[in-house]
Amino acid sequence: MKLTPKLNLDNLLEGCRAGDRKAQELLYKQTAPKMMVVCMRYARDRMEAEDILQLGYIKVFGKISEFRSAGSLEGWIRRIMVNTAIESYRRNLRMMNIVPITENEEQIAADFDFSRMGMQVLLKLIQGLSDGTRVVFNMYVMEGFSHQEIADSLGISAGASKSQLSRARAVLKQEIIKMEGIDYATYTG
Amino acid sequence: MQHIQDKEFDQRLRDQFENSEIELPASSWSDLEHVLHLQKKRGALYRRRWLVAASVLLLSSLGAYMSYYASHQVISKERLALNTSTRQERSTVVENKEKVITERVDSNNPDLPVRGRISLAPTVEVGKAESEKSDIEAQPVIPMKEEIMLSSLQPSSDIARHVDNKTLYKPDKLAFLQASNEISLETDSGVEDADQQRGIRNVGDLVNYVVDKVDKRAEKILKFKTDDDNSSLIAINIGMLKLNQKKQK
Repeated sequence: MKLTPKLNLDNLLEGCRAGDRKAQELLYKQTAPKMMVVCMRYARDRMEAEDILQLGYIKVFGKISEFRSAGSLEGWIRRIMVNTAIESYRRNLRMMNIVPITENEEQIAADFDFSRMGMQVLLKLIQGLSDGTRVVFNMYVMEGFSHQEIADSLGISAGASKSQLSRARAVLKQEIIKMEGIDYATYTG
Repeated sequence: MQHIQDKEFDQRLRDQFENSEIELPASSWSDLEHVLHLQKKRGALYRRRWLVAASVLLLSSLGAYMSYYASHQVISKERLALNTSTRQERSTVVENKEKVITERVDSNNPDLPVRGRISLAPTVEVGKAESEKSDIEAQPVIPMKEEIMLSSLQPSSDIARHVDNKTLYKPDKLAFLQASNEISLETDSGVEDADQQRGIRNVGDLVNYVVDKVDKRAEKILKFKTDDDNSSLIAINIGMLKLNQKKQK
């Protein structure tokens, strides 16, 4: 008999709070595949994503007693993953190539058929963005941070955050057009 | 032709990733478990290191305190020795002076009391001076300032002549009480001094002192026997483990 997901998560939560390794394993196996997608969006490659995932889960199991059952456990874990990814980005900031942003990127207006693109393809495109651009894009588009919050978190100006986002959109659109060909994107200009 | 707006583009991207999952390798959990295990071990080691550091700090503090206390004890002992020798010297001086006074008074007027002796033992009369000398010797010597003592001991024949015999013969009760109080206080403080001088002589004394402050139970968590300079553990009371010295009848 299969237990309901909610009840299952509650049981796992209690076990994890008690430091039960089996409960931790079950929670990991239940949530990690979704969290891996989050990590993949922030990382340059799969290896980096796995590192972020591992670091994130170490934090999750270390801080699980702080989790209040009022919210969603999955949302809480996701937040930890995002924070871990941002920390990782900040830690590696010195090693990263700073790509100069040119303002007023040429606006590409096209109709994209995302349904015919796989998630893996989109992930590849996002991972192809420069590090700063990728982090800003993820934070703004995927997590819903404001430009000011991104600026505070990454230590940049809100204007720089906007520029990075604009750049990310432009690059992604261009890449989608390239990959899908004329069949999937229609130029307007 | 349909133009796609930024917001719509973002939304479509979000939709693509919603509820998506990526399969993880089978070793993923075992790798994480290994890291968690190492972290736990490291945490225990870290805690142990902190414990050792705290113990070292505590022991060094105790050592510093003990050396400080010991140096103060040496100083106080030296002071005590100095005071004792000064008192002995003074008492010798007093005895000599008393002899002289008694002799002088005896020769002049044997009925008059000796004023100098009144300050020490107010009830002593001239005639009994020699007989009670031994009693005075037995009493602890009251430290007095040299000039006051000498002036009080000087037999002034002029004063002696002008003093009313009645007042002199009446025992000064107040003076007697004050003097006796002083003597008794001196004696008590002497006993207390002796107790304090014993003080903390070794680690056992120190542990007993600290445990006494912390543990108010009859059977202390730790108790050391410190009769001699060495100390030995004689009692432990840690819940289930209880070891106590046999009560002496």
